[in-house]
Order: sequence, then structure tokens, then C-alpha cells
Amino acid sequence: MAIKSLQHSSIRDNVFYRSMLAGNAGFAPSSFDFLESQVLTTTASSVTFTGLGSYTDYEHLQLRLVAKTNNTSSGTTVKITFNGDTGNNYSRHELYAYSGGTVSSFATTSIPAIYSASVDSNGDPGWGLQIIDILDFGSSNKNTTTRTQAIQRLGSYGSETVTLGSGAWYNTSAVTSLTITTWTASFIAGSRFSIYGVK
Amino acid sequence: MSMELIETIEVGAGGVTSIEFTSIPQDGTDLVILLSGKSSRAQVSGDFYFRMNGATSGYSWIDLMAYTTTVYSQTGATATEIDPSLYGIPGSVSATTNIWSNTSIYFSNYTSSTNKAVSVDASYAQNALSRSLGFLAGSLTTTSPITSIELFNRSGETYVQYSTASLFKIY
Repeated sequence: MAIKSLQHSSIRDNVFYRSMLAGNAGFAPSSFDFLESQVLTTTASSVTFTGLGSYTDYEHLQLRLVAKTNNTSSGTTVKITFNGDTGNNYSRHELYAYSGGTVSSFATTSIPAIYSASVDSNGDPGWGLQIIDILDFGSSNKNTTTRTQAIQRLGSYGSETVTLGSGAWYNTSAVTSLTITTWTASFIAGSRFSIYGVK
Repeated sequence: MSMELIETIEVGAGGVTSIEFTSIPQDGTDLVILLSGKSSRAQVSGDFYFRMNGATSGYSWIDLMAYTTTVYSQTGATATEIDPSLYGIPGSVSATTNIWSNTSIYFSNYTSSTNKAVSVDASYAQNALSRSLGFLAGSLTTTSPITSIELFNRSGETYVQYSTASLFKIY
């Protein structure tokens, strides 16, 4: 049934508004949006996001992961590949501090994935957290780069790691999919991987 | 907390010597710039500096950076700009072909009447020669709100075509 009259209104200034926002705060669409997530219910050796090419409303992507692996002896390096490319077309660079010791750096070139920082293993009390920015992921004029901020708490071994990392994929194709694996192990149930879009 | 895009600047053919955001709205709490850029400078690293409100004094900063496997720290105690030039953006020698920065600049409490704090997380990667990344904390001594930000080259080079810089407001 059509509404024919409004008996009550919160508008008190007797001004005629064309906007349905009258009396409310202005609407500002967010430029940082949650797009999709995968939360593992069982152990998995890899997690893949496909269809990233459909996010044409966004300039950049951000991958956030909170994960742990079934490796029982130490932390495990996270690996990221784009568009199914597993050739030696990547490089990585890290600046990190380990357990309150000296600050160190290392770099590796011509590798088959961006080796991101490590996440915790199953025997550790903490879960590895990584925030990975992928700028201009839809560009076909640029090689794709990543910037990672990561923390890892290896409490059972008396150590923690904090990392600023970078990676590059030497390919100018727009990123349409990304796959996350580990160096030697599988992600355990409860590991969460989320994609955000930045306009 | 919400994040709202204010403006994206994409550099066109021929490049530009600076990228400037002006008329910054004053109804946010923090600002963020995401920069995917490249300099025409014929070096591994490009010239990359930034200033706020056109001020040419009153800056101080400290950074921690890695160039390949060597870790450095630099400071600028009475600086004329914030200087993340060694890791903020790549240059244009052959080894940096199609290499672009992945840089974030955060301006805290930018409308306040207290001195302005900034932080930078930046990196670029190269597959053949070297790689650089670092983070920086800096400040500008001013009680004025930030109304403009200029990213610039100091040596006459340009930011090349397809460089993009996006300014966001956090509120």
C-alpha cells in the first residue's frame, strides 16, 4: 500500500529538503572497503583469490592475513604469487628485528614468489599478522609491487619478529588473482585471509 | 573510523616536477597519501621529498632504512623538508625499468594547533641491482593546520608518466 502521509517528522526547522538525508549527517562513501575473506575450516596448503579483476572501482588492494601453519619447529615463510605465475619473476626485501636483537635486512631476486614474512607455527602461542598493500593492482603499465608490515610471536621459543617488507612481480599484467602458500607447510584451521579495496 | 578519498593525481605524458594537494578539507583527523611513483632521475633512487603548507623550515625527521642488505639510519634535525628520498621512490636507470614505489605517508591530527607529526613506510624493489625500503618519523613545527602538501623533486627531475598519488582523509 502506498504511503500517503507522514504523521511525524524529526525536521523542526520548516525548511523544504529535496534530499532524503535531511536531518542526518552527510553521507560520505568509504574509500576503504572489505571485499572478501576466506577463513579456513581445515588445513590447507594454499589460499587463492580469483576474480580480482572485477574490482574495477578500486585503485589498490590490501591483503590482511592472520595465520598459523602446521609446521612444528619454527615460523614459516608466506609466499604470494599473482595470476598463477610460478616462474622466477619475483623479488623480495625485508628489514626486520628479531627478539630484541640487531636490526637486519636481506634481499632475494629471481624467485618464484614474493616471500613475505613468516607466520607462526602450530606450537607457538601467537598468530602471524601481515598487512600487505598492493598498489595500482589493475595497471597494465607497471610491474606490481607489495609492501608488508608483519609481526610474529614465537613465544614458545622466546622470540618475536617485526618486519617491514617489499616485493615485486616483474610483469605488467593487471593482477586478477593471487595465491598464498607457505615455504614448507600448510595453513591450519582458523587462519583468516581478507581482501580490502582502496579507492 | 572511515577513510575517504579526497583526490587522486595521475601523472600524464611528459611528467611533472611536483605533485601538490591543495585545499585540503579540514573536517578529518588524519591524512594518508598512497604513492605509486617513479622519478626521471638517472640514479637507482629517485629524488623524493615533501613539504606541508609551503613551509621551507621547521622540519625534523629520523628514519631506518635498508639498502639491499645494509641497514642505515639518517636524521634531519633542522631540515627544509621531509626526506625519504633513498627509499621513497625509484629512479630511472635501466635496472629500475618499470619499477614503482609502494609508499604510504601518514599525517596525524592534521587540523590541530600542535606541531604536525608524519610517518612514512616506503619501498621499491629491483630485480637486478639493489632494493631499498625504510620507514620514517618526522615533524613540522607549526601551529597551523595542514592545508597543502607538496611532493617534489629537488634536482629538476620529474615524476614520470603513470605515477599516481592518492590523498585520503581519515575521520
